Formats: sequence, C-alpha cells, structure tokens
Amino acid sequence: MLAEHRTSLAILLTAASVAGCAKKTADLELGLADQALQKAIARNAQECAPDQYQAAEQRLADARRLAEEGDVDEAKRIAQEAESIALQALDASPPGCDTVFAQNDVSEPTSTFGEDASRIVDDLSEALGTIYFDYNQYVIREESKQSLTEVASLLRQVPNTTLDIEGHCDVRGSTEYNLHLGERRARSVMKYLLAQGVDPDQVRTISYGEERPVDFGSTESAHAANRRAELRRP
Amino acid sequence: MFSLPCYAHKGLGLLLLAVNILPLSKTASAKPQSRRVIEVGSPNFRPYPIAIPSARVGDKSTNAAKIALAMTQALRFDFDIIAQFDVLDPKSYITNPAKEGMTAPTIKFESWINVGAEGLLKALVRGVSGKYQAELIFFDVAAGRPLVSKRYSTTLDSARSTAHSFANEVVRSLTGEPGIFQTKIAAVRNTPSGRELWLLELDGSRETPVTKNGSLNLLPAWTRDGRGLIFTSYVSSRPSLYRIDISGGRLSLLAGERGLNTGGVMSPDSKKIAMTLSRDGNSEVYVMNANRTGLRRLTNEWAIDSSPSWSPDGTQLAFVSSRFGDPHIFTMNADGSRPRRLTDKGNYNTTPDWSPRGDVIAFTARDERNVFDIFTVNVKSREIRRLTQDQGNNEEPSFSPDGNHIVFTSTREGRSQVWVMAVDGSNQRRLTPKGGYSTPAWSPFTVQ
Repeated sequence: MLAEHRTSLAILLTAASVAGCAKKTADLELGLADQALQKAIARNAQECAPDQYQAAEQRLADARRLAEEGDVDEAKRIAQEAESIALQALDASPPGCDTVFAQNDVSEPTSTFGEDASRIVDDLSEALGTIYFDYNQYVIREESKQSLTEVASLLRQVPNTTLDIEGHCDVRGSTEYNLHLGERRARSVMKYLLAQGVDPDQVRTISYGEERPVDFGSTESAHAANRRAELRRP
Repeated sequence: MFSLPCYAHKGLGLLLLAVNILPLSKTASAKPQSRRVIEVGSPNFRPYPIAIPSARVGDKSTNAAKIALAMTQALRFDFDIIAQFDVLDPKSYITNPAKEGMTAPTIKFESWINVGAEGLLKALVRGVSGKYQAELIFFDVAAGRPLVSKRYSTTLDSARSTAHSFANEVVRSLTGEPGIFQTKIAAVRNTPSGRELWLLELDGSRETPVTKNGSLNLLPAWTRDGRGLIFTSYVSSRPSLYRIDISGGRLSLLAGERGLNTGGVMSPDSKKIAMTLSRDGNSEVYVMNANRTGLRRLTNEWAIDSSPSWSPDGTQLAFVSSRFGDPHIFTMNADGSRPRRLTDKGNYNTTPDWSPRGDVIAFTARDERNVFDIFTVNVKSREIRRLTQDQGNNEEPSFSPDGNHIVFTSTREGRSQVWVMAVDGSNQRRLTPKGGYSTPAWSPFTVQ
C-alpha cells in the first residue's frame, strides 16, 4: 500500500515537471512571434503587407488564447505559424515602403476637361508599361514605385479612363499556381494604385500565368523578363 | 532536402520495385497456385514475365497480316508500359510462332518455361466471309492451360482497340482489377494561336483535338463518367470554368466568377465540383454542387490556396497553400475543416493528385538545384518518396485510375512531353511523339 502511494506521487511529480517545461516552451514561441510582429509593425507592415500582418496578428491572438486555455501544444504550433507569417510580412515591407503611402495626402485636381484631359491621357499612355517581379513574389519592387505613383497621379486626373493590369509569370512552376501568382501580381499593382487614391472602377486585373511569355528562352534573364505586370489601356 | 534514392531507371527500378505477387486462393477455381494478384506498393516484388509471340495469320490476305502486326504491337506495348509485367524479348523465344498451334495440347510449354515465361499470350487473325476474326488466348505456362480466351470480330482500324480490350481481360484475370489499356490522357497542347485540349491514346497511336477555339484552354480534369472534361478557358476573354464533351461540341459554363476560375475537379460521387476562385480578391478553394448551386468557400487565408484534389472516398481534399510563405501540400476535410500541412521540406510543392488507392498524394517539387521533380507523400506517415531525378524537369502528375501509374510531363528530351511511370518511379515511358504538352490528366477506366 505504502509502495503504491510512493509510485503515484512520483508520477504526479513527473507530470508536474513535464507540464512546467511545456508551458515554458510555449512562452518562448509566443515571445518570438510577438518579437517578429513588433519588428513588422516598426517597418509599417500593417500598410505595406496588410494581409500577412493581419494573419500573423490573428494567429498570435489565437495562440495566446490557447495557451491560457492550457492547450500548450496547439498554442506552440499556432505561435510558430504567427512568427513565420510575421517574418514574411517583414520581408514584404522593405525600408521606405511606408513613405509612398504617406504621399497620398497631396491634394490634386481630380477632374480635368478638354485639351488638358487629352494631354493627360497621352501622358498616361506614355507612363504605362511593364513592371517586373522577383521569383515567386508579388511584392512591388522599390524601383517600380515611382512610375506607378506617376500612373496613379495621372489616372486620378482622368477618372473616366480605365486601365487593364495583366499579371504574368515565368515558365517555371505549375500552370495553375502560376495563374494565381500572376493574379496576385496584377492585384498588387491594383492595390498600389488604389492606395494612391485611384477609383476601383478605373482598373481591371487579369492573369495569364505562364501562358503568354514575352521571352521564350529558358535563361535567367528570359525568366526575369516574363515575371511581370503589364499596364495597358483597353 | 529530398535525399531519398531515385527510382527513375528501369533496371534499378525493377530491382527495387515493390510489387506483390500473392496467390488469389479465394477466387481461383482450379490450380490456384498458378494465379496471381499483382499489386504495386508492397515488398517481395517480381514482375510477371509474359511472352507475346507475333500474332499468327490464318489466311494470305494483306489486311490480316496488317491486323496481326497492329495487335502484336499493341499487346507488347500494353504489357511493357505497366510495371507489374515484364514482356520477354521476342528474340529470345525458342518456339517458331508460325508453327505452334493455339490449343494447349499443341503448345510446348516447356520451351516457354525455358525462356522464363509465366504467361503466354497468343493471337490468331483470319478472314471469315469478308470480315476479320481475332482469337486471343492467354495461357498459364506452368499450369499448361488457358486462363482467358476470347474471339473478336475486328478491322484494321479497331485492331489496336481489340488488343487493348483483351489485355484488360488478362490483367483482370491476374489481379482481379480492371486494366487501364482503354483509358486516355487529356492534355494541353501548345498551338501557334493558343492552348488547346487534346486526347491522347495511351499507346500513343492517335491524338484527337477536343477544343478548337484558338484561345487559352487550360487545366483539364475528367468528369467521373469519362464523357467530358472540366477546364479553364479564356474563350470569353475572362478565365472561366467550363465543361465540354470529349467528342467536342459546345462549352457549358460551370463558373464565371470575377477573377480566376481554375482547377475544377469533380467529387468521386459526381455530385460536387471543387475549384479555385479569386472572386473575393484572393485565391481560395471553393466547392459547389455539380448543378452550379450551393457555392461555398473552404479556405480563408491571406495567401494563395489552390489546386484541390479529392480523396477517393470524397471526405477530404488535398490542396496547395502558401499560407506559411512558400507553396506546400495540405489536406482538409471536404467541408474545409481541419487543414493539415503534409509537406515541410523544400520551398515549392504544388499540383497535388490524390491516388485512387488513397494512401499517397503525388505532387511536383522544386529541389535545391531549382529542378522540378515528381514526389509522393504518404497521407498518414507523411513519408516522402522521390520518383524522378536527373531527367530534366518533371511536373504535373496525374494517377491512372488503378493507382498503379502516374502520367506527367518531362523536358528530358527537350520540349515538354507526356510520360508514364509506375507509382514507385520505375518503368518510365514516353507517350508523345513530339513536344509542347502540359497538364496531362488520366481518364477513368471507361472513356465514353
């Protein structure tokens, strides 16, 4: 009888120490996720990568709730996800990405008539063109932002003018995933323009995935030329 | 990342190929020790060696000789392309096929045993009152008796199809499961004006166009009845989801939501269609009833979720998600609950296709050298197996209806061609005569 009691006490002690360890580990995961999220906030990821930022924030909240409820393993897992997504949000928010959003405050005439309008449409046609993306990415590169800002500024002045944005990919990767990646590229451009005050009715997106390459080669430069969004007037 | 050995070459592959040969004692009527179940996916492998001598010609007509040749070629192709069998080299046969009879007493089975045959497939073609008749018999060599015997009336046009039909009977007699020799492959072919859907005969003997609209027609998937294809077309300038009969005809619209409508796949009971839509501003997996009612979103993530593939019992879907940054293979319940990540190695895993046997999901992965290859992941254990390696880029796997084989595209000979291999990566064979194909999809057992 006495021996039995000793055994159960030993089991209780072991269980308590295991639980203690596990709790400590979940705290670590939560801390790392929080740290990543704070870094993302500092880089203005809320505006530069809002989708990722919100997903990370939501997961961190879920993980904290799970930890409070005692589901340590799940809390740990969700916190890891939160950290991973927060780091992506950070990646998607290069230094200076917040400055372009700040420019929205500049007030400009929103409609123009007659000769002015046709000149602006001409300027717009000239400003349109192709912007390029990194492999498997749909984040607008720094180098493209100036020309997109110009396009947005012109579009705002001629609200009756519309724009098609075509998303494209290089030939590597699967047909379907590339269609959706091309869509994300086109939508990145659209979101950028909308963030600069362009009316949503002025822009349409379509993705052609890897089906309409401009360069049929298989070199790195051919791939780079195909990873693009084309802005054109319909 | 994936450091498992490669099974791409037939020699090595056959040594390691996991095919199980078990006696089919419950259903065998006589001499059960001679009948076999041959199943890819288990140890104790040995391919079933079969001798296919040239079909005999019973009369002097040129057409009969042509039919006999077409049938011999088709039979040898069939048993060569499936990994459970090994066609013995005709040059090694001791018996002169022209002199040996079609009945068991007239066949010297010892000479077939001596060349290593366990099965012997014989055919005789003759003209009967202006028509042609083919007699095909499959013998169990050790037992010295016929297992399957059939007579067909045939023509030069239908000779290959007659041979495939008999080959299916032979497979059924040995494995208890239907054969795949009358299945077809749907694939996208690049044309100067766009992308069109084509049907390929499994034996590479013929290709027929399905769409002819000069637009982009992409990502074909079969309806479960083998009558039609579900696919994405830009024919109306917006990428929408359509169905078309394989004999051609009009496109019927399945989904024309704003944005992309792609990757439509029919559930095993034909009642639902899963697909990827970007209508809500982001690519997500949806499901709707086959009659286009009851659209429901199954995923809700900031990232790309796409490419659903049904489990054979229809209770789950495999799909691609980049919710953790890079695209990986996931599964979820058919109502969208309980998403579970299946792959964690590598940084680009796409195009899941769930095996009709249910145990594994085939997918395309990019390896550390930026080369694309085909892998399978076990749904329960998450064990990864590499099926192709060092042979160009290999992508877009689709399972045969018996789950023993995979059709895929490969650039190993230049432009992208359609290839077939066993589910363990052995026995890789090219189907197409030239390049320019993508996203092959293997039909159900019966094509109508």
